[in-house]
Amino acid sequence: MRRRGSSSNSAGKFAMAFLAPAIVLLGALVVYPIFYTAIRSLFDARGSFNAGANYVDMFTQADTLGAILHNIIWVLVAPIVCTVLGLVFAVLSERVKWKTAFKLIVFMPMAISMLAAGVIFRSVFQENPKVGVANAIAVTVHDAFAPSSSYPGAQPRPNADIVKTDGAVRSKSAVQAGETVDFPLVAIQAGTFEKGDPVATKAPAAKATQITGTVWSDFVLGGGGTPNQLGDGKNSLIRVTVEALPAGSTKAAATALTDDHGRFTLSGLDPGTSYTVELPSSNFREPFNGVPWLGPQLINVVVILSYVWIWAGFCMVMVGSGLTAIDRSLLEAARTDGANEWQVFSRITVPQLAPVLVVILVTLIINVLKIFDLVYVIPPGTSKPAANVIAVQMWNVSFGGGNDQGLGSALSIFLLVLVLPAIILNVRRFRSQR
Amino acid sequence: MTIDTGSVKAPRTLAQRILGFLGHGVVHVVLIIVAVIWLVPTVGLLVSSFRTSTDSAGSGWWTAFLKPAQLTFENYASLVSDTAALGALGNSLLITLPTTILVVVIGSLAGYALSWIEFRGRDWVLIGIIVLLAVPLQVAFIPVAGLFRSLGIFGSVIGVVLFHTAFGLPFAVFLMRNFFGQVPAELLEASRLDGASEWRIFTRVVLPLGLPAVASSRSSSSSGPGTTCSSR
Repeated sequence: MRRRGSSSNSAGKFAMAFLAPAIVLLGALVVYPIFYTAIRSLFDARGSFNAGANYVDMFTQADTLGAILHNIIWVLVAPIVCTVLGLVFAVLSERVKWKTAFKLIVFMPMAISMLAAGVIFRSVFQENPKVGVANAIAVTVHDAFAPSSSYPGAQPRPNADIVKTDGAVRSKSAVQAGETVDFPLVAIQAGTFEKGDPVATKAPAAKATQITGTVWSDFVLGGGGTPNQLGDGKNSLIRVTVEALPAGSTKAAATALTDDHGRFTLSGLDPGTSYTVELPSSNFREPFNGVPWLGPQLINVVVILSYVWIWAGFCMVMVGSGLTAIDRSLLEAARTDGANEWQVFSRITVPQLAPVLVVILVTLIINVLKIFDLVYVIPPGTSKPAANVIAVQMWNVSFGGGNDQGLGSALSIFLLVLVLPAIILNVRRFRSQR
Repeated sequence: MTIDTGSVKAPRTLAQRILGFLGHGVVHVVLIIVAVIWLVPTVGLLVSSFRTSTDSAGSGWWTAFLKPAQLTFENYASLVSDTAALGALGNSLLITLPTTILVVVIGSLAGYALSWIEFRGRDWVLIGIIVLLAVPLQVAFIPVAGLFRSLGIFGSVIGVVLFHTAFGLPFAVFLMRNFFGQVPAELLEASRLDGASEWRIFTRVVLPLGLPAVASSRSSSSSGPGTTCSSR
């Protein structure tokens, strides 16, 4: 330990004078509250002693228990993800010329308040793909691989000889080659047809190896028309896939698309076999409207992602300052000895950075345990219980309507207990440095 | 010419060079993708701030790139003319500025005492500070609310400033102690031999030498108070 300075009698007085403002503030607003809260946690909402009942409540009530569980998820996931990303970003950015610009971009979210970040991420993950960028991308990618259908939700006309099973519409009775099967469908979404759209017409008679038919919307806007019958200006369903399945098989013997007038011709069929004619479910699939990011199932993923967005920059900068301190000659020596980049990274860089990584992890774990702002802002009302954490629950219980300061105190003391290992680790590290 | 430098500088085979270029290219591509992902949310917010609320409700901000006519200063105009928003901005300053000043002043006083004045129990005070570093803000909500209510400063700017100063102090004290510790000991010894008082040494020697570092540490964390007070 460095010993210097005057050890005269007046030193203590001076020290007290210098320390007094800090000690008064910390004592009144941090230390005293800890003891007050610890004692308060043993009393109920109205202030009468209940000897630990708050702590029993905390671990038995579903919402507080849920908050504790979510905090555990946070602690297990968020610090590790941030640190790993920070490490990767720091090491990779060393290899490009624009590393300063890159670091600036990734570090920038640290300068944005948590509250604003919450607002930003809530808009990014809006469910409506027209507004939320995440779902806009999800829908674009999805539709590139599985285009949405033209006639979602279409149903067979109840009295026709067709039936809908597993999303596909198929003929009820067996069909022989040379016959004609018609598909009158209803419940086509409004707005599918416009005035002047092509009208369905009767399919030509089938040859011996063919099955023909028409697919149409069996509904006339404004009423009129005979059910199950063509005509009266009924619209055709165009470019609908039609398959002929031999009886008992799921493999199509022939496939066709309907033309502008709803007509299809399945050819190359065996005259002796019975077939089921099917319009596969791909014709009627509901359009993909994006992922419900802000729903209860995914809300924790989204909130943790926004946390990572903010804190990965911090980790990157910390690792970066650690990188400048490591022994470069070791890296060079390893490369000369023929180690590849991955070996250099995993065997030399990471072990040398280990102390820095521990500091980052401890800092983030403390930070994550206290997480409040993001969880308070991002989840919409219905998802709030699924995202709840201790700090938010503590707030809700004691101020936001619950008005049970006993339970609130117990929750914050529990938070303090969770932070204790990190405190002990910090103190130990401090003492070993002396 | 390029061929010349290539043949002189790179004694590697063509295959190695292609591999090296590809490896480098992959790093570039990965970093560009990361940078774009990190930028998109902020850019979205920025572009949205130039669109009307009806536009924002009906379509994504990226449509503004196709239809730049959507862009407008309307939001900023209404922000400047909105007294409530300006008041909030004023409050932010009223809270952030005094908090920063108090944290720096009180923190550097304590940091000086902990790094340069020899007194009994110094290590214990320091350990106390380290312990307080990790204390969650939430622990203090209930008692401080009661305390401030009885003092009549609950919900006032003074209350928020005091609360944030207190919770900013442990980190500040710790940081200042480390900065001030790096000031050469000879300077202090010389001043003490010349009979300078502790206060004089603090204001004339240690503070000027440590202040640049202090300033940089504060500016980088100045979003801190604003960040937390708005939600609490």
